[in-house]
Amino acid sequence: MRHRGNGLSLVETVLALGLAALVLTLVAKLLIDLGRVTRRADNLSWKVVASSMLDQVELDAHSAINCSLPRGGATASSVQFTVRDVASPLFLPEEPDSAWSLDSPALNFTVEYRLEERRLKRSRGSQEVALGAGDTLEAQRLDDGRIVISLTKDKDQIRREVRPLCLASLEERP
Amino acid sequence: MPGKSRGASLITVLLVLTLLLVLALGLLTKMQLSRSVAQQESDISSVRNLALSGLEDFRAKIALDPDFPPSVEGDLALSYEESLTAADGRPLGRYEVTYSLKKRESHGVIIVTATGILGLSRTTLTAYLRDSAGLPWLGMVQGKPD
Repeated sequence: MRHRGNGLSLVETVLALGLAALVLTLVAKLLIDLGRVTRRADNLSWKVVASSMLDQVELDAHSAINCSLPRGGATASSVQFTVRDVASPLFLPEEPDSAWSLDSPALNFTVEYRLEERRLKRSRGSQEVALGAGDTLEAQRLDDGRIVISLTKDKDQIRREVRPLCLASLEERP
Repeated sequence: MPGKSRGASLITVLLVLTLLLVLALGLLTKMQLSRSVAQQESDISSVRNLALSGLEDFRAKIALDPDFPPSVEGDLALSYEESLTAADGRPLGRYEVTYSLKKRESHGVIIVTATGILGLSRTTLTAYLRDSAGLPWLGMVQGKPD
């Protein structure tokens, strides 16, 4: 009988190398997938932030009694809304005097959304708040009155279509 | 020694398998997290739309139903709720609408609060409806009135 040495036989070596190759391939694939999922999670986290930014835009658009975008107009890189200050004590005073009116211009304020230094900014008078990151802002008012807001960052885009409710009387739909 | 060598291989293989298992579990957790974030985002958008539906439902009711809202004494706030389902019967969530008529006579304004509810997610919008032709909304804010 041939003496068997301490080393591995050819079959054992081939099996061990095959197993090692399989394990390394699986590990590499898992690492690649992990990187992909991490990138996706990062993009998703921007989308979550961007979505909350557009929630704010949407609320102002719903409350708008005037919008800087003309119906059927071109895409703009900023948008202004005139909004009634419903939080003001002058809006619904306990005892309104004869001069009080819901249409008083003193009750209105204007908010503007624009991109500056790759940040979406909301300004109301001298107050300015940076809401979050973005590369481009596109705003457009369609023929039917709906306002389309689109915000992008890198390859990601988030888009909202808003029907400005305060501009939509039941007598005259936008 | 051949016996020792085989034992070492077994431990190595077990270690590699454990590493694989840990990596797979990490990946699975990350994917579940991504899915949960996406679901949460979708729910936030849905409850906002449900609240808006509640506001528009109130406006449609008051425009079309001459007996709505029922007359009440004092500052009483009334409320109702409705569940929405998709065409295929799938539940979409529900909204609760509360309205106050206390400023209707004096200011010509009805204060309407609508809450969209889907599972554990909910959002509330308060809107001010002008009680005049066309029933235009005067403005709306997130949350309940002060």
